[in-house]
Amino acid sequence: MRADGRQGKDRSRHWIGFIAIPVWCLLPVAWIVSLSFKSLEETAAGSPQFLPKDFTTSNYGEILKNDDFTRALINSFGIAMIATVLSVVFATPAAYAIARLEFKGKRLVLSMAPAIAMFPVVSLVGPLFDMWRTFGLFNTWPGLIIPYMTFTLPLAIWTLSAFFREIPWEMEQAAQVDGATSWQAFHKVIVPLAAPGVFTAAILTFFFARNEFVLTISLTSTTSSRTVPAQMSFFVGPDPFNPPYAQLATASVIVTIPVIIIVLLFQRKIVAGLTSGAVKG
Amino acid sequence: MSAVTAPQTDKAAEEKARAASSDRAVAENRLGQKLVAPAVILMLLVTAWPMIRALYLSLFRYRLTTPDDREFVGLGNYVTVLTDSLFWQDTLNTVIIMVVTVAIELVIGFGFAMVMHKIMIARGLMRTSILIPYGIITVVSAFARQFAFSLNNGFVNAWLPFVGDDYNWFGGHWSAMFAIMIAEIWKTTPFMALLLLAGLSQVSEDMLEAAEVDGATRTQRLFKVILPNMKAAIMVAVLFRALDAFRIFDNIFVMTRGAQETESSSFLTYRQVIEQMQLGMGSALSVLLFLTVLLLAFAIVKLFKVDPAQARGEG
Amino acid sequence: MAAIDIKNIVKKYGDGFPAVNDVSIDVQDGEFMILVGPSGCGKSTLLRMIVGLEDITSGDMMIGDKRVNDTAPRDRNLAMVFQNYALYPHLSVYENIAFPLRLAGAPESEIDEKVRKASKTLDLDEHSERKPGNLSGGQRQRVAMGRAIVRDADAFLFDEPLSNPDAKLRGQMRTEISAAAEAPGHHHGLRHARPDGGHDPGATGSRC
Repeated sequence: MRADGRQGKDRSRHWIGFIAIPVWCLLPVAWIVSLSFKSLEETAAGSPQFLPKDFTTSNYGEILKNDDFTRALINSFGIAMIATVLSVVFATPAAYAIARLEFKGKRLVLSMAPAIAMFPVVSLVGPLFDMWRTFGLFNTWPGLIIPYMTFTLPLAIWTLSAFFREIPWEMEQAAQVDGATSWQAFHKVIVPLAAPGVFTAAILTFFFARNEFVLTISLTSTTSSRTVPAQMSFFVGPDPFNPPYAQLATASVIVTIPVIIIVLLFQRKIVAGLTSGAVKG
Repeated sequence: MSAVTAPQTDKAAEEKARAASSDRAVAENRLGQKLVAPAVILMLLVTAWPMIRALYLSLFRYRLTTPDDREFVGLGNYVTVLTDSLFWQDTLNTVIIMVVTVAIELVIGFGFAMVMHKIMIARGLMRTSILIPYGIITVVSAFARQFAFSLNNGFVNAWLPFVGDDYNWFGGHWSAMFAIMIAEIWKTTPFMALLLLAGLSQVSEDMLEAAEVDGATRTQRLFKVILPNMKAAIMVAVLFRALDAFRIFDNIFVMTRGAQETESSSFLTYRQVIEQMQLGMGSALSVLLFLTVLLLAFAIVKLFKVDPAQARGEG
Repeated sequence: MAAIDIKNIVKKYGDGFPAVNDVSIDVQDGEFMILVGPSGCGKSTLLRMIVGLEDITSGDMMIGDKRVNDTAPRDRNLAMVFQNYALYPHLSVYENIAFPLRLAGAPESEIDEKVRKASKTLDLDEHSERKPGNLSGGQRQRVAMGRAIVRDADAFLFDEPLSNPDAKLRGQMRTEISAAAEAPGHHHGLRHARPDGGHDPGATGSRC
């Protein structure tokens, strides 16, 4: 829109930022990748340089053969997935009502959602630790899925209602005027319009559930329900300042790869989901 | 005659219309409440129920290793906690971490948002880079940082010119706190930046040009036009991040396990319940933490007049 | 008060398309000039070059005797009313009008006097404490006018001042612009209107 002269100085400043953002964001990722290619011997002897001396891929073979780790991957995926699906199922009608209908208590629900999402999860640890052992839910999938709903459900409501507000609902009537039945109007018009929002809310919710650490470290005791973050903290061993670096770095890379793929595929939607929830966009 | 009846039918029609619309409003009201009810009930069930249980347990001396010795002590646990210097030390740590990280994230995040707002090329690359710290598991990011700062295997000492190669970051309180805060800032700045970017994109370009013609310098445009118009976005970002930072646990657990007095309120609560099995005391800590967060949220909302629902335009 | 002398101004965009091609206009001090032309012919670009929001590819832009091609907008001392008014939503009507004076560091008493006078002229005095978001289109336009006229600017530029669809308002605006132009000390207006606004009695048309 404007020619260069007017904003020359500004521009160079933005270019510095243009370089700084990816460096700041990706340096730790590059570091963990580099570390995953260092051999166990190298890190045991101490290896403060950034890149590996001897490049090896043996860590990957080792960690994928580690049953505790693969089991944790399955637990993480399964628990986060079920919590996400349940949250979206409960949140969708609620978000629809918030976006489209006028009813008493709407503002209350809308303020309650972020309030509960910001609730200090660690406060649940004590009572749940006690109750879950009585109910036989300690160290089980449902034992984690239920408390995960405390933050996944409000998050899903918050994000979904923001997406639903942007949907041009008149389209439903327009389709009916064009000769569609109610079901066709819903199925062929509303579902395709709402699906991307539901999908994005599900991704964000999944990220949150998979990231959770306090509950999984407190309410699990064996690999039968331990998720990745908890399992990784168990790999550390007795001395937290001298952990098996290469093993942990490799596990880190493996669990980060899906994040990178999801981000690459859906970055635009994720940004929309993160921001429309907070600011009218 | 028609002159007489006409107003009457008009009135009748009007009344009918009003009745219909209020019928509709009632139906809409009912449907709306029916649709939100399951979610609301579930949210309350999973949150309020354990919380009430915590309130109850906090009134007992109750250690899981000796469950039969459970004894009602009233507010005894609260007195013990509130007179213990460790509780205050940990609260202070948490507050320091919250204030420092949120302040720095606000500045860095605003810088990121400005760059992303102005630069028109490679937006995909920018978005991807900024979303990776957001999407990465906190425990993983904490390991990456702990390794980077580690004495034998970290590159930080080698890269930083003013730090000796044998400097032990986890050997002192402030250096360990610094490492923890760096990890926290790295992980959560993207969220801040994206919220601020959304606020920034709502500041109209025309208004900035008008300010330029009105004689505003670059700094004046930033402080008198851009920032006041982003106030809602900034405050929502601060509210969300401050409450989130107050819960800090993962980074501390992985990086120091609370050594060098880097323990946070969340970590103390966890340790009482899980490691010490002091369920009564731990529950008292849970309740206090919950009240602190509530108070904090209330203070931020009142102090800055933020209303998340309103900022979204649902007011 | 100063004359504006536009000499062989050219504006080319990155793709080489000339948005404004070799335009020369001489506006005398106190003159009332209207640019008329179809949409997309470069009227707005020219106004934006005069005020300094757009770089000039070649030619000379003179305000008074000074060449201002490379002067920042804030140092050109021109006032402009934007097409969409560009009011500051976070400031009250009073503060919107006072904004340029505050930036110039004027003393409080002078600010108050000028803002009150302008509000009175534009019939805004009862709205001083309201925010632009709660005003009607016509009221917003008057606030934008107020923000322009409180300054002792060398020239006043109006971008499509009569583009508001409300016919009644259009008549009112016409009167107000004339009044502003005739007020003592404000002898100069450069104005830019759509063709349909061109049947103003004092309008001089120029085609691109």
